[in-house]
Amino acid sequence: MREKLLVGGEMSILRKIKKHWVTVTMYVVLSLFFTGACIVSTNTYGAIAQAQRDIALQSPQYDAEIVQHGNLNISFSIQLVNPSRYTLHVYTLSWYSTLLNISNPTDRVIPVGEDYIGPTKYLEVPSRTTFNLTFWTIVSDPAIMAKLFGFVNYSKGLGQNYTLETLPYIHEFSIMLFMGEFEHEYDREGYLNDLVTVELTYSSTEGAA
Amino acid sequence: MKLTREDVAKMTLISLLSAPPIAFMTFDFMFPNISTPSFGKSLLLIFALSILTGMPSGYFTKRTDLAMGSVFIYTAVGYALAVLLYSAPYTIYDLEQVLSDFYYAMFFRFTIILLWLFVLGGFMGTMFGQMVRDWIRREETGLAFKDEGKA
Repeated sequence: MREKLLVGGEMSILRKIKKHWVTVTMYVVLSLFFTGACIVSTNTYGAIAQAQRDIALQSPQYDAEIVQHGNLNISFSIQLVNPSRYTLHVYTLSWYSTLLNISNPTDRVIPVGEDYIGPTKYLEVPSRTTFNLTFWTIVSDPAIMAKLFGFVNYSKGLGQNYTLETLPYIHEFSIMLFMGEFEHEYDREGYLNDLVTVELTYSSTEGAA
Repeated sequence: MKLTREDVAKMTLISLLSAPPIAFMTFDFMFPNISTPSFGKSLLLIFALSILTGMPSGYFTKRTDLAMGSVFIYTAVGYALAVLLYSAPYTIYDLEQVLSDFYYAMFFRFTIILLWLFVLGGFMGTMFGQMVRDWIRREETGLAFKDEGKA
């Protein structure tokens, strides 16, 4: 017995593992559990980074046409592509259509249409789908119509033959979305908010960003 | 103070097996919203798990200096692993993003406190591990002599 105790201090690692197999197993399980957690978390992180890169706006289309009673119909549509595995929750969404009149120093921007959706209106984009967003507005306000006609007439004097349908309307679109259901106290730590937030904009003058 | 081959092998094994919990805790501390499971930045939980992670080091290593040295090594390996996990999605296509965000997230977000907790918890775990081992050995020896007496 005494010999056995003395030799105990010089046992090889393998023999020690065999002797303490319960403790070693618990240790290995602990390590494997956290290795698995690391892999799952990195996978989620990778999918989010990929989604940030792949979610995009595409195929913008805009039009202006005269409708009944000489009113003007301004329309805009764009596709939101979501190839990611996460559902996107729309936080804010806005569309503004304007006409820039640089000849008038006091009234440079003529607003012709707008739409806004805030966080209170629940709207989501399912995963792996392409979502169509369409906006339109009827311009019937005599004051705005007068400004548009004024622009057409002023341009005619400069040699530009515009009609209400061919005026260079500017369309500005922006959307802010949250990915999936990643819960945290986002107000306290802004960088976590940035991680799962997608912000996309489109301007008919500058393109998508 | 000499290091035998067995000591080195043991420290290496301990460093490899204890590094994943450290890596996960660091990653989870950075991104508690996306990690699974999440400790939600609870320093108490992190400290408790650091103690648990340090216990095998004390349990399997007789020499206290080596056991504590293992704590430093596995903390360093785990932290480096967390940096790799953090960089994984970006290294493929956007290295600039890794570098700028890397310094911001890893060095300015209370990681000193985190590392201090890992090491302090590891040391405490080492002591607990040694206490547990000594207690088990005493019990085993006592039982062995008791059996021998009966025989």
